[in-house]
Amino acid sequence: MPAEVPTIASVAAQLEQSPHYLRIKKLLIFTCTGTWETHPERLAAVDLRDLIAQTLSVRPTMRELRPTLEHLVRSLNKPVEYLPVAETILRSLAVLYPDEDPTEWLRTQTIRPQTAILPPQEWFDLRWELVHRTNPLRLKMLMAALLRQGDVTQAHLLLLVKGLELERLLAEVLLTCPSYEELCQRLHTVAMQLEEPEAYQQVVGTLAEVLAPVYQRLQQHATEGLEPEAATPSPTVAEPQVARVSDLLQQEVQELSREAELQRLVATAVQRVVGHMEQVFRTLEEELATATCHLPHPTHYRYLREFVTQVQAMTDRLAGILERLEQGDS
Amino acid sequence: MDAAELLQSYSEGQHDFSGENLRGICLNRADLINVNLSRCDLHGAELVFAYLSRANLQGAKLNHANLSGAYLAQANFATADLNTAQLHGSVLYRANLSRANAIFANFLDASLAEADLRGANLASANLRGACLRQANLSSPRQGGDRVTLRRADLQGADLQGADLQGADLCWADLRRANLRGAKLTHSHLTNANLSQAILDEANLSDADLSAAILHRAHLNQAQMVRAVLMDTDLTDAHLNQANLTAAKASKAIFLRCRLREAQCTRADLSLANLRQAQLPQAVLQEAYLTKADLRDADLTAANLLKADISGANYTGANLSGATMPDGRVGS
Repeated sequence: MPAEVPTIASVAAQLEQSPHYLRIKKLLIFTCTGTWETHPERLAAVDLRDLIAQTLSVRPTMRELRPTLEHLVRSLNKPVEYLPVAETILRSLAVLYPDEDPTEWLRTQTIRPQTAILPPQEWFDLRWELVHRTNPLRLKMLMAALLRQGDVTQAHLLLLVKGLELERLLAEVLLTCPSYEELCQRLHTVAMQLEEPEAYQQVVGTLAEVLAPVYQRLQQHATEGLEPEAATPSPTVAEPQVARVSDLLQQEVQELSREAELQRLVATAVQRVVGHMEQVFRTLEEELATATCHLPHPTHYRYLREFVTQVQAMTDRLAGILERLEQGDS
Repeated sequence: MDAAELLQSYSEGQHDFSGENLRGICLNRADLINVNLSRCDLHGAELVFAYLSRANLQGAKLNHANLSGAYLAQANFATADLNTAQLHGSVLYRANLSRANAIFANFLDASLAEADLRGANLASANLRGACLRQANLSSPRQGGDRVTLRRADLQGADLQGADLQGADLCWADLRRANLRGAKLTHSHLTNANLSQAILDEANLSDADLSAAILHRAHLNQAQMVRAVLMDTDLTDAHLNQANLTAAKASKAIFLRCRLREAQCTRADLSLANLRQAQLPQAVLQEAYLTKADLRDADLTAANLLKADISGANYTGANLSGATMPDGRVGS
């Protein structure tokens, strides 16, 4: 875009005035190419504007640039000398990144997912199951949309998740939706609001299915008054303050979780019945097709409809009995 | 050839577009399963959420291409140029990335389980949170192309059961990574950061971990035979039942380490810092503990038979039931 050229140029001009000009170039060359250039002529030949443009390309967010530079400086022979140089770069280049950092809303949180809810190994198993069964990017965009709330475009979501790890989003979702029921309801609502909602339906189903046992465990911990099975921290190394699930799941939340668990049991039973019914239906269809082969084509459909009507009548009768029992108890 | 022409030809059954110039082509969400794009110039191509499962992209130029969220299961990227490509959250399950160039490529949260990455150059790549379970990143002991993950960002990556034998992981950031059961024999981990990484049951025999940082790492039952741990910082690490036979751990820091029943026969622990380390029932037979700092260490029932403890400081150490170098049992 034409507006970006003078901005890169102005930042380059500003950095060229720095007494650390050559060191700035060295750090940026390493960030872009992985090469530590010391040759004066080759250093002079590199255009700082190109270097800045390339830096923006390989590290498209400040969130990615900062740790890269910090890690690099720590690995140098003269980290003390290069630290202020890295700071200068970060300060100067910050204006070239989007004014409003879309990840700010989440980065301000102080959640350390691995130590808060599940032991590290179980986090990995959970993540593996999710990325094995769904598209990781769609999964991240769905979770970001749930956490962000309000109208967000696909492009905005893509930008939003670029600097956020799946693990972090997942931990946020678990902490934001204290009950399984709430999770499912919010996931379905959010998926419907997204562009290409049908592409997110499979992700919603998988996420709900994979997280069901996690919620079950959290509920169990809350009921038994246990702390989650976090990795045992070393007695001498203080853990940063983390959100504890026991703080989040209060009495009301426990009730909701219990309700969600009951709903889950029902849903599982329904799935089993429907699966069995489909099998019975297919067998009956084949049998009817054979038995009615000499009759007009739609005949077997009439009998299949008869089958469905009779099953429906049966379930209606069961529902009636249960209603009477319920009224009797109350 | 433009996007419309390509999609039209594909829908008519043509799958072979090898060698085409497709620079900057926009094929977001396109359905191109099984397509042959080998040796194509796809520099800067837009392939977000594209369906490219089992696609042939061998030798393709994909630098600066955007493949975020693309479905690339079993795709063939052998020798492809993926430098600075965006593969954020893409599905690369069982993909072939052997000898691909992916310097500074972005694989954030990508699924690379069971992928073939032999001989790939992933130096400085972003693999944060990527799933590489059972991936093949092995390198031949001599000759051939070595997998390079030098300075790669692998924070929180899942490498459980991955084959990283002989891989170059120098300066790699592996904080909180999962390397449970990973094969890391003869790997190069000099200056790597493995703080809080899970390395339980991993095989690190003959690996070079010089000056690596392993704060609070879990290495229980890890195989570390002949591993080089010179100046390695293992503060608060868990090494219960680890096998450190003949390890070269001179000047290593094992401060407050848990080394219960660890096997350290003939290990060089000279000048090592084992202060407050827990070594009950550890086997330190014939170990070199010259000038080691064992102050306040727990050596209950440890075996120090024929160990060289000259100049070692074990003030405040618990030696009850320990077999001393001369065969006497400590009280």
